[in-house]
Amino acid sequence: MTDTRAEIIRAKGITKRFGALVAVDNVDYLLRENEVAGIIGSNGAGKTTFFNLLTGFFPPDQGTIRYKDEDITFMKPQQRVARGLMRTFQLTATFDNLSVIDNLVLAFFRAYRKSSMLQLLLNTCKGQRNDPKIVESLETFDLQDIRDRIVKHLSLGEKRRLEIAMAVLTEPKVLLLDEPLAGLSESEIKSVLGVLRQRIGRQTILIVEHKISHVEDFLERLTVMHEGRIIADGGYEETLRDPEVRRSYWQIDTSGEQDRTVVA
Amino acid sequence: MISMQLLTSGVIFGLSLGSIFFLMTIGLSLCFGLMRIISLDQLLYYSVGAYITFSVSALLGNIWLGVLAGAIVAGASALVVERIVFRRIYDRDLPFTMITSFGVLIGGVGVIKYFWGLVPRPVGEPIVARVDILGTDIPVYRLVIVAIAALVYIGIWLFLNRTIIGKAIRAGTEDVEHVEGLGINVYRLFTITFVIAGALSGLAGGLYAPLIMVDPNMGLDVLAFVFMVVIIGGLGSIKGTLISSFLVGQVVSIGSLVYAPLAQMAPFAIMLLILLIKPTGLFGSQMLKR
Ligand SMILES: Nc1ncnc2c1ncn2[C@@H]1O[C@H](COP(=O)(O)OP(=O)(O)O)[C@@H](O)[C@H]1O
Ligand SMILES: [Mg+2]
Repeated sequence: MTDTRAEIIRAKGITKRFGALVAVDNVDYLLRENEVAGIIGSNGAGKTTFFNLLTGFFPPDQGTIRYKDEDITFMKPQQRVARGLMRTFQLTATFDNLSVIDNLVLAFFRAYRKSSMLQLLLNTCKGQRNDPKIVESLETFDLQDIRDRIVKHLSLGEKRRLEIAMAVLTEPKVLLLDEPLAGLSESEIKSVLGVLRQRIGRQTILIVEHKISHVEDFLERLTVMHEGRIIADGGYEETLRDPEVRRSYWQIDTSGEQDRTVVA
Repeated sequence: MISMQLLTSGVIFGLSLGSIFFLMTIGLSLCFGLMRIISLDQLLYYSVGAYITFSVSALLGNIWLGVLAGAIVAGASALVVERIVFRRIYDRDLPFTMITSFGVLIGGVGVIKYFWGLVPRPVGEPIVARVDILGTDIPVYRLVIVAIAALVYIGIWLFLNRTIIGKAIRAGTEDVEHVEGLGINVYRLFTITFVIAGALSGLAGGLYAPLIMVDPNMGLDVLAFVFMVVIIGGLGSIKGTLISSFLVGQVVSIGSLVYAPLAQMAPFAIMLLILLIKPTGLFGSQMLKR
């Protein structure tokens, strides 16, 4: 089956080494517009490192990354964000000492990039707090009741929702989510998934998960990483039937990890 | 025994000294909080502020204009140094940036000597009036310095807590990479912070100039006190800087009333004591808390 949607990200032969360790090993990966894709792999498989390469936290040792028609391999993170590549972090990247609403205001910061320096210096947060985009975001992500809370007092689930809200506020073309469900309770997972479901079709979504159980029903495509390599990539069902995936995952499953769901 | 008069004037003297320390170290603290650099060159902008105050007030006959010009030129010098030097070395480790900043300070002192010579310069007092507080004759100018420092503290607080750039700076003290991850150009934040720091250091120099002789080594002379303030208060904390500035100011002032050599020694003793009890300084671990 062929997918006619336009390519948005194409990584070619990217490799990242940490000393002797090859964390990402000659990976080719393609994402299309509005695709909802997932990458699974055990701890240490290289998923977060792959995200870091896509988002520019460090450059690859080899290979190239293209975004639409541009080579972004060595571009700085904020330039990539400006082009619409946005991520969340495995450990949430919200700002602990600021309130929920101020975190959102910061995420919306780029909207003021055309303001002059003086305007920015004098700009109080008051006006921005009532910006329709921010009000909408509070509603969508169910954050109204906690809008003035300082983030360090939030639960992990609330922080995750806030983090995704922040990512979405930057109006990304590609939303990269690094283990958005890790550490959440069942009810928190439900609320985060509810929020993510609303985003489908509005931008490309790439979710990295350690466990697949919760995201299975909305992924179109599934990729499996193992020891820095992609060992399977394709439609969701097809990937799960892949013999190598079964073999690798079987091993991982029996080595004491809890992702039973993959092979089951 | 110390008389009531002496004590009152000692406390006021200490408050004004603490205010100067505060203006001098707040920039250092902000720069450390956000950029993780120890910017000893702030003491250069302090001297620049004092010298510009001297020259402009001699030229225009108005000391306040001199102080204002001093703060502006100090901020501009900081901008130049940030662009030419720090922009290139933010990624380097703390000792490297600290030694570099010390190099800038020493080099800058050389430039000052070139322009203004070695002779200490006097600056007149902008306010000669005195007021009676608890039966003690107090120069109003000292009180004005305290008031200005209070205004600066409020201004910084409002800036950090009410403006978008301020919030971004506070977010940056938590995690610069994550701020960058939101598509915010953190180098712009760095520049703003550095220039504010330099201007405040310059303000400190300009305000202090009428009370001392302006000389090329004035920055180096206060280096020890600046170290004590930041070590006692804990780097990166605005509140800590404020409290420890006034603590050191009082200790120097009251200490010298009791026994003159204590002025140098007492704050040092307190610093050692605090380091023994809390090695991060009073507020060291809490960055830029409200
Ligand atoms: N900054 C780093 N420095 C050194 N090693 C790293 C770094 N980041 C990740 N690694 C190593 O690279 C491998 C892949 O890590 P990571 O990408 O975090 O895996 P995953 O997200 O799939 O759990 C691991 O062995 C990890 O220890
Ligand atoms: Mg990871």
